[in-house]
Amino acid sequence: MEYRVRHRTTYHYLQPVAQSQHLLHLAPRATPRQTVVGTHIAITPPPTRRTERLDAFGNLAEWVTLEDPHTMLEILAESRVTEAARPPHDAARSVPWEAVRAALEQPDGPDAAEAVEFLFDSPLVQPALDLSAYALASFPPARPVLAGAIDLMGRIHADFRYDTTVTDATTPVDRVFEIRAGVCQDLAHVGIACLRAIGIPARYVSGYLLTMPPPGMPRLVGADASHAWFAAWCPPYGWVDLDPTNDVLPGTGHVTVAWGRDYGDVAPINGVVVGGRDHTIEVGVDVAPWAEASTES
Amino acid sequence: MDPVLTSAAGAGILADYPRSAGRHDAMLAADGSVRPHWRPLLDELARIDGPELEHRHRAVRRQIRDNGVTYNVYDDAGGAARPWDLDTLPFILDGQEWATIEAGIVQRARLADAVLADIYGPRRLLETGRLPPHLPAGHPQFLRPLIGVRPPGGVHVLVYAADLTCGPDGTWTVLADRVEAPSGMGYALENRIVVSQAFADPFRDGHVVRLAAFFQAMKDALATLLPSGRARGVLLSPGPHNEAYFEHAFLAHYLGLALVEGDDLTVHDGDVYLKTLGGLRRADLVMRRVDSLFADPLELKADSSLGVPGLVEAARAGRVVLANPLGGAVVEGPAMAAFLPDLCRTLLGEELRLPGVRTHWCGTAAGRRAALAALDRSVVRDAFDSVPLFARGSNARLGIEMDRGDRGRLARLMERRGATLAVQEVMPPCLAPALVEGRLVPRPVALRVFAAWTPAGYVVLPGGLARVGQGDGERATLSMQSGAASKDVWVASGRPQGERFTLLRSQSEPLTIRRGGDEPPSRALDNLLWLGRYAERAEALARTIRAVVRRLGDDAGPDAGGAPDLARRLFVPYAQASEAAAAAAEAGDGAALAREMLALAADRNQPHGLARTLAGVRRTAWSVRDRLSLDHWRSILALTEEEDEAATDLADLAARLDMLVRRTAALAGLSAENMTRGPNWLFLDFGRRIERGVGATWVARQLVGEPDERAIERMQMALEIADSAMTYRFRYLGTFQPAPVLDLLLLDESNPRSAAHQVATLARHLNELREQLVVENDMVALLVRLRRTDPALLTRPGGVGGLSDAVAGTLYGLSDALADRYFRPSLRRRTGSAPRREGG
Repeated sequence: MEYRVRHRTTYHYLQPVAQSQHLLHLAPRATPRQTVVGTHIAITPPPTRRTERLDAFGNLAEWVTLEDPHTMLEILAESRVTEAARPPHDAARSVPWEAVRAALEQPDGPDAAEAVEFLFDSPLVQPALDLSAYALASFPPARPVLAGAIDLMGRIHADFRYDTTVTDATTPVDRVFEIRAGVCQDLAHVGIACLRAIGIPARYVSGYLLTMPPPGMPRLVGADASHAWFAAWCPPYGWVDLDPTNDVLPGTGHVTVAWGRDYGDVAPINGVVVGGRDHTIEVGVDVAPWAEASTES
Repeated sequence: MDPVLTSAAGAGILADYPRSAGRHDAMLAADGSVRPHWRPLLDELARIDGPELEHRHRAVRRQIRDNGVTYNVYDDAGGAARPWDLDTLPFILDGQEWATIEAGIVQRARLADAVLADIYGPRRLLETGRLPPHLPAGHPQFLRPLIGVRPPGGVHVLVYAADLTCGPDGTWTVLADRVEAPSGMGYALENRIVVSQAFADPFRDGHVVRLAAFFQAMKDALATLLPSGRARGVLLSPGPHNEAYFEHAFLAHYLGLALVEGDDLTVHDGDVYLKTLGGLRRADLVMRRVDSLFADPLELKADSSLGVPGLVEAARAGRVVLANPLGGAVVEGPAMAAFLPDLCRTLLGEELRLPGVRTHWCGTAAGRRAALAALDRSVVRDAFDSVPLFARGSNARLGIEMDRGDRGRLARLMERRGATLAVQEVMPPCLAPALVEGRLVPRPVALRVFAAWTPAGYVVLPGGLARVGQGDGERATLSMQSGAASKDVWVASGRPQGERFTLLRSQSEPLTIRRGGDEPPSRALDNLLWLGRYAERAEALARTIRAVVRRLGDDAGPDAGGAPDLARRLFVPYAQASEAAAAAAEAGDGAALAREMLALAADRNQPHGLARTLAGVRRTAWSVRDRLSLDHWRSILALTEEEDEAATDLADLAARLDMLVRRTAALAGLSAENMTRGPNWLFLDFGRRIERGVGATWVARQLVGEPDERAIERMQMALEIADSAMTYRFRYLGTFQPAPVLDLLLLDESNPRSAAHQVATLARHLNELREQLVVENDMVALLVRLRRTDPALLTRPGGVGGLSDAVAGTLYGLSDALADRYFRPSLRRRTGSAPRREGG
């Protein structure tokens, strides 16, 4: 499937901003099942400087500086991506989870060594609670790791209420675990924390969902904003995406933008502004099949 | 002196000093004899008597206090700065022992540099399996945005420190490597200045190696990394609340760097700039005392308010020298310690000279087995935690204190997340004599030793900071943050040392003559302005309270003379002073008024009382400690010293207020006579003049003009508060009339206490600023108005009031205008991606 992704963020500042610096993670990266035909990011007013680089996790990141006073900033990212169906992994044939953990003590090869990056606490996922007890219910001895991860995803989906009013961007994972509610970002963090607690690498994936599903399919939660899920390290298949908000394995309807240890590594826009006083932000996300989108506008 | 007598006396002092079995004692050899390099000190201790020793001890404490050497201890309730705790007796090493340590430190600094160069560079150690990927990956201060960033000159470690102690077998052993932002060298220097004076003879006779050359070498070396060759440097501090702020100010001053906080710096296109009065100035050397993680809210810890957005980008651009470069902490911590011997062989082709404490990283099955086997003689630690053992924030646990249940849980945790744990064998620190109530007592000691990069290799500070543990045994705490005391560290070379050399004085190179050139950060100027205002306000408040108190008898009954009248006029409308004082004055109750005056002077709960105002003086002065001379600082300390007990009666209070007024005058005199006329002085004086001008108009409008039976007393009091009584008497003898009093207080520019004098001075000051502020026109207009005012007309109704309002309005307007223009660098804010957060 080919899609047009449009992500518009508009800031209005109460007073002029003298200088602002932003770090953007808005350009989707290529993955085995995702091809990126192109991305265009339009910024108004025009920035003083723009620099594109790959970040430490291989994501496309852009550094943007505006040094002329401005009271409005609009960042519009448009991408054209093609999604293939997810590979049909046989969960039962993935490696028993204890063996995954043991193998990573002396990783064989660059992929496994890279997976070690996602084994530890990270700035936004450092629970004080021991989540291993919760996690282990999905990981009885010798269970194949992907089967355990899918079970964990299902339990998080069942045990945690989707609620946009109970958490904010700084809510720690412990708190989410206590209240058993949150948004996609929180549920992804819970999944990551559980896996890491038993020694399985887990990473945070930021992306989008198809806004209007194909006929006959339900519209997924989180379709009109940025979305997030997590991925687990599941040899021999490598990283497998899991969306606990919707209890699905992401397929053609999920567009991947970037991944990191947690939300903080891949926030779509991270900024520091000088001045401005209060500000308002409007965000609009639209993901539509390319054919429809290109005829409509 | 008779040598027999000397050694006999020496034996006396040592009579009670216990020999500790199974521990290394720095002073005593295993056979109980005194090590030769401790001789000169012990001879001196034997020569002087108890009272003399006590005298020197007190002199050391006094000097520490007078120099304002402090260390904020987080454990203290309120976290207030407390005097630096320095044990009078130095820790002495002989030349040979030192040579071993020095060589080992140099090697470790090289090793840390090489490991960092690889971790942030080609990562060969990881690819070849010499270092498990877990070590960088699991370290919370492994900074991924710095991967691939090569610091100027390719040097990752410009300043290095290690904590070490001497084991029972006499082997010096490293407890921790410090690469992030090692602190303590400034305290080491300060300790040296103080202790070498207290024990001048043994210092000379022991041929102790001096410290200054190290700092010169470090400074010169940093300059070689800069394209300009001359550092336009800053010392980036977390600010006055940091525990080591004294050291930041001290080092900045000693090394000739501007002391700045994150807000003072800004990054444009990869270059770092300092915000100054005259605009942005390039800074190409940043001595960094803000931890890397907090150094850039854009790319590192997003909620840090200490950093500079864009600093990582500046590091990438490579045109600024950060000392140290960002991200060095990744080589600190127990897990890395376990790999250092092997890394040393791999990277340097050498054996590690100074061993570390035996450490087992639990990230492998073999490591876990060894760890559990060693548990009884070990501590269990976070593998990446570099907090000193048992210091606040350390989650280290002693193996012997863990029961079977604990051990079972530990074993299971090791299975799940072994890579996050390390087990480290306990190292009993060596002992050294400390002076406790006039006697020598053995105390556990660890040293912090410092090295600096130079193009010719690392150089080591010949000495360091010894920290004296509070308790002993396995839990001996050697962290300054947890309240350990410190010692000077002497390296007794056995050879005569050259002439005294200090960075602050002689330097061989002839200097270009410069006048001015100091570019203080805007924040410093803000603090100086407020220092001026608080100091002047304190004086005015002291004079006002004193004037009231003088008119209150000790047994002030219901009729307390003119005091209630005066207090009512000065304090009642002046609601910010004290409502209770106002009420007491209103009621005419002398006894209540006396109580309120005492409270207004000493009660720290009075938001606008004298005690709080003096605290404001101290706080703002502390924030610009590096811009004040030692004498200046001492006079501020003297002024703001807290009284042990508050004054209990009016006579006592009056005496104290007299003293306070004299001290404020001394402070003002120092500022006027001893400060160079640059921006520092200018802004301090702005503050002083603004406050004094407003004060003069206040006193005039409240006390002069109303014709009743107390009018004369009030005029006298106005002149007294404005310190103009003498001048008035010379001019008008004993006749008090409103017009001449108002002329003297408000209009007479030759009277340095008058409003007109302040306005004229401020107008001149404004003219000295490089850019013209709108408020300068207001000031000139006000001056013209004051010059044209006929004193006689001021006695008409509304005359004083109108003029006072104009003066106060313009002066406060100036304070705001300066703040708007120079100090309020509009707050920085973070912005996210979504109104509330990401959706989904």
